[in-house]
Amino acid sequence: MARIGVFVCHCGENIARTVDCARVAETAAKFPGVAHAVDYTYMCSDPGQNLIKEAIREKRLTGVVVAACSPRMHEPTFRRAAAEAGLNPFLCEMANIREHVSWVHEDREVATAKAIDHVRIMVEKVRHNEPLYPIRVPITKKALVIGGGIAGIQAALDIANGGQEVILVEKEPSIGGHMAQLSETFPTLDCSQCILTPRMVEVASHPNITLYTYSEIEEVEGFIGNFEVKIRKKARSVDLNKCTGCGLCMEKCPMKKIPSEFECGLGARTAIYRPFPQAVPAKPVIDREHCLMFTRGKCGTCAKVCPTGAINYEDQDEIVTEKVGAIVVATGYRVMDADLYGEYGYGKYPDVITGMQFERLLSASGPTTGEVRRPSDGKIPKKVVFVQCVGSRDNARGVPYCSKICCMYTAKHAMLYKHKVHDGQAYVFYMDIRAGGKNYDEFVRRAIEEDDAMYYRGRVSKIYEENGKLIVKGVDTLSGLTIQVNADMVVLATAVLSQEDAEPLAQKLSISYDEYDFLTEAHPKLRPVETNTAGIFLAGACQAPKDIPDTVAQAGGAASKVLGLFSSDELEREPVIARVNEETCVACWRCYNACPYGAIEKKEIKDRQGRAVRWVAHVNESVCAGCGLCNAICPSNSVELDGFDDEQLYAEIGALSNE
Amino acid sequence: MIEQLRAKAKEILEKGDASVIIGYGRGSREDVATPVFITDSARIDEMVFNPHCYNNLMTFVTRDDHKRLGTPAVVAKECDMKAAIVLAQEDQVKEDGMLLLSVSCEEMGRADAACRFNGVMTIPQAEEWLKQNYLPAELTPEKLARVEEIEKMPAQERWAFWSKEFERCIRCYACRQACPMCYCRQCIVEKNQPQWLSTSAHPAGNMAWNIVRAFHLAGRCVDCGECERACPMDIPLVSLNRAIQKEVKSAFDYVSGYDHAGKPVMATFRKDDEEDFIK
Repeated sequence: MARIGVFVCHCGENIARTVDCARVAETAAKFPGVAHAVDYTYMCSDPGQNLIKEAIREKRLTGVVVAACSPRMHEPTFRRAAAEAGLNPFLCEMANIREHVSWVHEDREVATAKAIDHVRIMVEKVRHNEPLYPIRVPITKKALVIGGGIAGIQAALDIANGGQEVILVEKEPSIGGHMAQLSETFPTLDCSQCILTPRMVEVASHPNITLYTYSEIEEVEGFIGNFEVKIRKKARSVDLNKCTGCGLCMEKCPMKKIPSEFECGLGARTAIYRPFPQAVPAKPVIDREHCLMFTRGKCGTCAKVCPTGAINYEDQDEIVTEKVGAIVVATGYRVMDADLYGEYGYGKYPDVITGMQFERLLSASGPTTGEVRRPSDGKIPKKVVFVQCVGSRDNARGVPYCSKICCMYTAKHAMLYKHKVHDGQAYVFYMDIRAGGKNYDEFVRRAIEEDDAMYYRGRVSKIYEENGKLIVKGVDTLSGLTIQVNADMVVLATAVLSQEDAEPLAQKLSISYDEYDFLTEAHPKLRPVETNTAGIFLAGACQAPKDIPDTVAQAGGAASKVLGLFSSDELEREPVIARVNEETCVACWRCYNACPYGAIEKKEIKDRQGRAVRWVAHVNESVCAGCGLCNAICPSNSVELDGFDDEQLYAEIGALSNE
Repeated sequence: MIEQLRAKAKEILEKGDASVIIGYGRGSREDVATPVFITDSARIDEMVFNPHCYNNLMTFVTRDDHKRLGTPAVVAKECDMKAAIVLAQEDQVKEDGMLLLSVSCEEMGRADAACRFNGVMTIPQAEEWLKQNYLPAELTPEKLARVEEIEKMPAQERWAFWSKEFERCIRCYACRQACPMCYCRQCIVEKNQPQWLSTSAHPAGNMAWNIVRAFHLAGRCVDCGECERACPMDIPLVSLNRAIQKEVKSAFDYVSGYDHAGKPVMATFRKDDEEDFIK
């Protein structure tokens, strides 16, 4: 005989404003099988949970329905409470009368009636629920970090220093990411390379870190604690074990005029190259698109000069498989193509450049060894205009969000420019100055007050060339005047975008992403480094535009989540998994083909003499994620999902239709 | 033609390439043929083939009692060959688990229609043969004419049309029994804990049954028309099947029965599908 307790939560005013919670409880008390029904202001609070626990003990409840918020929010809370009172947690269910009722309805009568329906449905389900017991699976204590920028470097180091093994995968020939390209960093102006490169070296030499550069994620299978990852090590054409990084090959390579990606096209590189001198590993790679051996089949200079015979033109991509227990995604960002804004003349006028290019001009290791010289004629520009929000906060052509870092780096640019060109003048066109952060606003004020940057609150409408000058037409909305600057150089603060391959990567990992392909955190406030896929965490700008301090903080957060996960040897998994009825399964393999997790196996049924009689589908319970696809696709209904079986769903539907 | 067929069947049995011939024999009337299962080559003359040999004999190869007879060689018209291919695709028969005695008939049902024997084929050979000889005959405008007429009706009228058709259904399940694709050990309609589909012949249950039957054929129906022919109440089931075939063709560019080694179209998905519903 079922003795079910119904607990109706007001969620403060969130539910009670639209739903008559007392009436829901009173009505529910009369449902068949309900032994107890109450309402309370905050069911998730300590006294609220005690109401449930006491009732379970005193009224010997056989099941619990909590009518409150989304189970995504508090199902674990209430199931834990039920378990503490001695009830199997899977006999506790939630009726979502907040997201599904009070938040989406206005009419109190209608909402109350709907809330009652929801409770009736869940009472019927709980009457048919069976106790389920957690599945224990071992954890592979090794983490994968995807992306070797500052986010990935920090996460990898933190995990490795915590005593666990890490595999760091970077698609470029060197780790370092965008931070390696930066000149100096706000708000303290320490040199980016000086603070980054020691960490890069630490990564390379750390005994707990395996580094795969020039490698990409090919395939990810499995689940928390037990992922299997295929990594494509792209053909480097240079044997890393033999190469000493002497650089002779790069010196002798005849292809010397390839625009350098690292220098954002402001410098050149050879076909066999390392992206920058401080690269880790400090060993080159052959760019097969430009190397004469690959384009014309002859040259071989590098192989001839290499003293260790490290050059291998026959090198092939290699797929390595690694088993890991957790994954940190730290794939970073890219900047928007500035030529989207034709009126700014990017691509047409060589002295209209992007912020990233300006970083390279400022950098001591850059193409001008840190002198600010404009690309067209190498002259030192005396008037430089900085345009903010190129693409950001632009619903029409760009992206609606704020790229977050541009206000700060533009102030930094204006400041560094003034430090290098004392008689120069910086002009900044901005929409709003967003400088929230420790010492950030002070930093911007310094650019304006001490380094004399002229800040105009307004947009630039047009940039064109006249008599060797870049005529910048804009408006200062504070004075209401139109502004014209006859500039020598223009720097565009282009929007921060997600990586081009963010979407396919997210699909490989089965994690969600937003409409701009930024990867989505599990909860914007309370679970900012987790994804909705257990065991996969986020760090850095792959989740949203972020500056270095935030990135490093998030990377540390992700690392601590990984270390937390690795602190136990086994993982408890929710036992909501599929089960095959072997009597009726005809082995048509629709489930086998449809399962996105590879959890369905082919099993042979044998008779008493051990002879194979027939095949049936079998669910590997440590791989099954309980998504229910097999359940839905089976034509003979031979697959059931524990916790959501046919009897339970039928009871729910029945409760709704036989009111 | 029949002599060729019998000679080949006899040879197969005697050489041991198959242990049972599943073919057609003389029926109780002139215009009826009935399945025969021949394991002894002395009985080979029982075999006939004429424009009344409608049945899709592939229904028998998945049944346990017939499986016991060993490797079959089955007399198969084009649709029946397609059925064999889908059965192989769904792992109900092995690619090399049967032989096909491929036959064609100019027009089934027309007494003077000419019949042809195309030779003995394995499943992969049958697939090649069909691609050459039968694929152009799939989903032709004539075959889709009735479907399109029905599709032109406004939704309400269409619903009323099918409701009226299904009202006659007596739930004899002859459509299911005649269908080579309905090989489940337990049909969903017979699952009774809980009973998702009502089994009594009333309009709601009839509608549900007929829709489920058609849906379960999505991407699998070989368009043999046996369901409609078996239906004692003359419900136009082929139109329903073809409407789904048409959908599958337009959505996935897929015609069933031409890919024994591939994956069933409705059981697969691609992460790079151009439709964004999947993401």
